[in-house]
Amino acid sequence: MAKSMKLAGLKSVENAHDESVWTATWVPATDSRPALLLTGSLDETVKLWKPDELELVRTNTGHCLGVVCVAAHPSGVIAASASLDSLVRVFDVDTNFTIATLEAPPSEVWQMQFDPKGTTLAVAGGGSASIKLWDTATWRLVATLSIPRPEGPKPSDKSSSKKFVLSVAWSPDGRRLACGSMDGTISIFDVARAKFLHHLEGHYMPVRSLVFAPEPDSWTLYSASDDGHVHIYDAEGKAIIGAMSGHASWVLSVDVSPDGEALATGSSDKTVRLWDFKMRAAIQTMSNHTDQVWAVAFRPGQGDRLASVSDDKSISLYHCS
Amino acid sequence: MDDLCKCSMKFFSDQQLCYADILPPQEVRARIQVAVLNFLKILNSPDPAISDLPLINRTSSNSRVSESILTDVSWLFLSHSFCTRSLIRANAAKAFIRVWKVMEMCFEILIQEKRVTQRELFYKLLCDSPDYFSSQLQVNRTIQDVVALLRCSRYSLGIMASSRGLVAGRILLQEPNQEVVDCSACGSSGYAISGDLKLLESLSLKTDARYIIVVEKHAIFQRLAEDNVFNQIPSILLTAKGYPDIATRFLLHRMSRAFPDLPILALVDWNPAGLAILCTYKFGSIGMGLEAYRYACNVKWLGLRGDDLKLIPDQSLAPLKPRDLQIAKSLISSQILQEHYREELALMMQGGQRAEIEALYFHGYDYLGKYLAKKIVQANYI
Repeated sequence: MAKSMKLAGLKSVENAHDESVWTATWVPATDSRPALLLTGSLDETVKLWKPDELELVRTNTGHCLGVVCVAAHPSGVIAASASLDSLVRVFDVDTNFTIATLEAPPSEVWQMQFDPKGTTLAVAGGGSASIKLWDTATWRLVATLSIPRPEGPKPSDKSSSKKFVLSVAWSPDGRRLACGSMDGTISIFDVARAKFLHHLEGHYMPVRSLVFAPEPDSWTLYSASDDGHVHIYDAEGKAIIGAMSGHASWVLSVDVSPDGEALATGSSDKTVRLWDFKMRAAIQTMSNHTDQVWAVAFRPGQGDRLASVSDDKSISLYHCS
Repeated sequence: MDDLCKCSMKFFSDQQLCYADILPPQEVRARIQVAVLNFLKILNSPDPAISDLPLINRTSSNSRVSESILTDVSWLFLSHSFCTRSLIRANAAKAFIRVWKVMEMCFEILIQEKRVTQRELFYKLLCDSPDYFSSQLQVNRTIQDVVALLRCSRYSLGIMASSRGLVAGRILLQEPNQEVVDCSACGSSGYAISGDLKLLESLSLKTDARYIIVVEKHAIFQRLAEDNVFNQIPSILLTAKGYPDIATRFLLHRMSRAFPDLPILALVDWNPAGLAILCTYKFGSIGMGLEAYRYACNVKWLGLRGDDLKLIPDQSLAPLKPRDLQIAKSLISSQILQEHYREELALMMQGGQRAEIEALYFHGYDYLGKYLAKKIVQANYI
């Protein structure tokens, strides 16, 4: 019988930002410092926090609109922040030196993730119905993976807006990219051949967050949707393996622990839930937030910490055991 | 008779000198191409082999001293002993590959006619070859390997020096076709020394100062600049905020050649690291031994020295740390350290204590200026 995970609240910071906190990610540890938590907010700032006391290390300003996504390079040296003004800023985590600024047309920058090796940054392209791939050594756009337009009686703009790409996730071996759209479909791409493979059906509402299971189950994809469910897919076999319900409202974020044993979600029902795969049900609910929980993130490495951020401007840190 | 022999050998010491050329981009690219072609030739020969990369050894065993005979400047240089990077040895294989990766990056940079800092090169290598590069230190060491392999300066590879140095005081600097910068009006932050050696080469320098004062620490530099000490004692202040980078040494060397009558005086903490910093300005370093010797200057030790200890209150003295003892050991074993300096170092070790320049503030914040003035007027420097 696999051990069951448990969460215990460690620390919360009220008013971590001046406005809703929309995004969070862990910056892996480097030789000179431990892992840090990076958060981005509607208040246009990005903040760096040191666990476990969540002391504020630095505040980065400079974005002109709310920060929709933060992503960290696997080396822990570099990170990127994207905002509603469709600019992605790539910076050195320790010095805040700007390494590159990536531009895109309006509303074409949403979630983003570095590939497991750190050679490519994938950015969900929103209204462009595509994923943009940037080479991290030269910061040039190297590929655009487009979701094929569905064949319809007459071509219209409406069909592409349904495929508005919100979320993106890399498979652990870096060979597959998954993206989630507003109409609930998930698209799988073969990265090396820059080719669309297939859709994964099942959700009918926006898929806001995706994450692949770590090795060795690396074809397993978890998705979080506004329909309140978390789906488990076999991304290669195109089949849905299971669905987990329990949230009362939109599921905004999903993350899997580095050992693959636990799944955590954040929802607009203000809770963070920990799920058991066998029972396909939530085994624990944390209700300390007073508003929508936009993001949850397990700390890489041991996965003994989970962070959650919310519309209530606070960030919380939990111990996992 | 023995002494005479030794003396005459000094005349020929430069024959052993190994140096890195300062070359234009196309020549560096050519050297990289030659390295690749040689490697392929041997790989493709009737008796194929994966050739090792021969690098000039950057260790103290390969370092030599060029003692001043006609001038008053001595320096450290590297001779023709080699170490190799080999693909065959399992633990060292990655180091071998790193050298090629850096050469590849530098080749691209030179074609694009860009210049990058070591940090920017780190970002590129981290993202381009994540399996081989994980820290800035690795990148810096590999760059020195490439310098030792191709025998061309780091700057020639397209890599700019860090810009840690600052200048303040009675000197006018002018970049070509730019406005004149008066460093006495730069405030306590001073003029930032660029990492671009070509730019530093093109600066025109004018001064009415009588001394150049090299300061170890940023805080002391700021205090002296804020108090306009360079107006009371007509001088130029310079700092690299610790161990000097090539750009700061380059500029100091230019100043010493442009204004040969200005004594260069160093103000460092009373500890082995302070003396090591002074020695780097004075003699160069082994780590960058193929280039650093060019920028050695006749720097004199103003303070803090043994005879200043009486000015320092007991509570400001701290025990020497293990790192201090390590540095002292390597200084003592260096053949280039002259008699006076050895005596001071011995005094440091005997007393087992260290003191920072800030300890002089015990007598008031303006005491430092008075201390400097007194020592300079008495020509109390070695």
